[in-house]
Amino acid sequence: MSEMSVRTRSALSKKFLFYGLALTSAVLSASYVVVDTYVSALLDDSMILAQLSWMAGALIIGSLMLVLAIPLRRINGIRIPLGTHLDPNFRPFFLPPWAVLKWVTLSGVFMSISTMLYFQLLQEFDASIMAPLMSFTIIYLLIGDFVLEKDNPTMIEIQGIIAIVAGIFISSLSRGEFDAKAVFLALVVMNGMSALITIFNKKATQWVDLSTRQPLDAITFRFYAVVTTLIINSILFIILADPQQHLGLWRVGRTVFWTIILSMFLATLSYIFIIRALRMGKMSIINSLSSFSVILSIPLTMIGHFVLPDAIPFDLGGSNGIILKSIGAVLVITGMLGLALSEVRVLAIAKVTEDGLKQINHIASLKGVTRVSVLAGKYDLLITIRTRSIGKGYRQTIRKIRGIPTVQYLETITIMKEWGS
Amino acid sequence: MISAYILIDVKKGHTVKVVELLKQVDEIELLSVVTGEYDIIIRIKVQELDELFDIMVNKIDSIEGVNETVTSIVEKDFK
Repeated sequence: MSEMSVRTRSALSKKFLFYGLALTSAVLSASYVVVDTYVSALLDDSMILAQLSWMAGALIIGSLMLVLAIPLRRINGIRIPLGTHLDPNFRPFFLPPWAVLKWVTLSGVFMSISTMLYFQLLQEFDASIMAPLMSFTIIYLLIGDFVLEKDNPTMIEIQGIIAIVAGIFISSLSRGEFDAKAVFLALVVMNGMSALITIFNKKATQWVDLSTRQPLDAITFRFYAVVTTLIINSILFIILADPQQHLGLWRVGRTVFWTIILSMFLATLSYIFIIRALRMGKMSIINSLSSFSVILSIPLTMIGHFVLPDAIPFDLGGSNGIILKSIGAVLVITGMLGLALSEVRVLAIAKVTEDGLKQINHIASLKGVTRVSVLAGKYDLLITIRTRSIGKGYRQTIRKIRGIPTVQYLETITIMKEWGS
Repeated sequence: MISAYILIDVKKGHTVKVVELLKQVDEIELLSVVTGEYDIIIRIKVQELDELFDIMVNKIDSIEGVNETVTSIVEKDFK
């Protein structure tokens, strides 16, 4: 076999693995919502379900951390743990500083309340409606960006927002009735909290250990997020739940615990597949493929309903229900795909004064900057910027870099086409 | 591991052919066709400088249509 054909096969299998990981993650995401619908039908108590979920989640991520901490090989006398295959920054049993934990704790407060609400809403909506409803978070994040950056939305952003809102509205109508209170709770309260959770998580993952220059790895972050949420949820459960619910946690909880373990296992697996895929390809492609969980939730809910008709509901709401669900899901995916794939990457090469190298952290923290590489050679810095449009990239990032006095020369380069990650 | 950016100036009309040949180089982790002074920018990852030299001489500079290259080794990546 020639060297060229071996390379081509290797590149092809890498590509299939990347798409396979991202799509499997979408299937897993849709599956755990269906499993959660089943659990909600078995036990009508969102507080007990949330508590059991976080207990199961902590058990799974804790066991996973132990497995990933196993050293597999040695490089220059240093033991390399298995987890580095998933995330190269993985540091087993690393305790992050309070600067990170404070964001994780804040996120945990909202995750805890959001989970209770999620199980409450699963009593109202089947999984095929719940999946599009959960996509609304991206709209809050976009609007937050427009307000904070004092910037106008691009046409693609407006189209994406309209498609997602219309899709969610049509999906909700597929039940045959429009429950305004439940839709308000899902869209405003649950998605509002999800947007805050995303912001807090982003703050936590932006931290960099100054001694090693390593950020917090995704597995350790997930571990602390789940454990913190379990602690906060346990406190809320002790304070808010009545004595019957406290007893019910052990009595009734035992009957659904293994199903909840399955749901949290699927959720954790989906998260791991995303981390692995991120090492191989573009975030925008992963986000696009992940959004397919919205449409996958329809056939998966139908299959679940066919196997367990009493436990997994599938609201048809009349003969047009399935058509409305499908149109709604397609609109949501169209909006999400548009937002994910419309991003452009811009490179900027710069020459800076000696003092300029001290400004790197400032440049790296600018909106849209995804990487700053310090170079040896003709240029000092190569800055990678991800933006929704070139104009936006100029307004939000390039103009600010040009304004730094130590930047002597800056040349922007637009990427017309690219391959790789 | 050593990472480096290579800025490549390509002869007029050779871009597609050069890109196709560069796509066969396993060590290239990012390949971008760009506007501006250079036509292609690649990010390459190698174990040691010797390997970078081999790739530059045998796999990049030898491609017909490659006019000029500027190699910049990454000292540190932020983010």
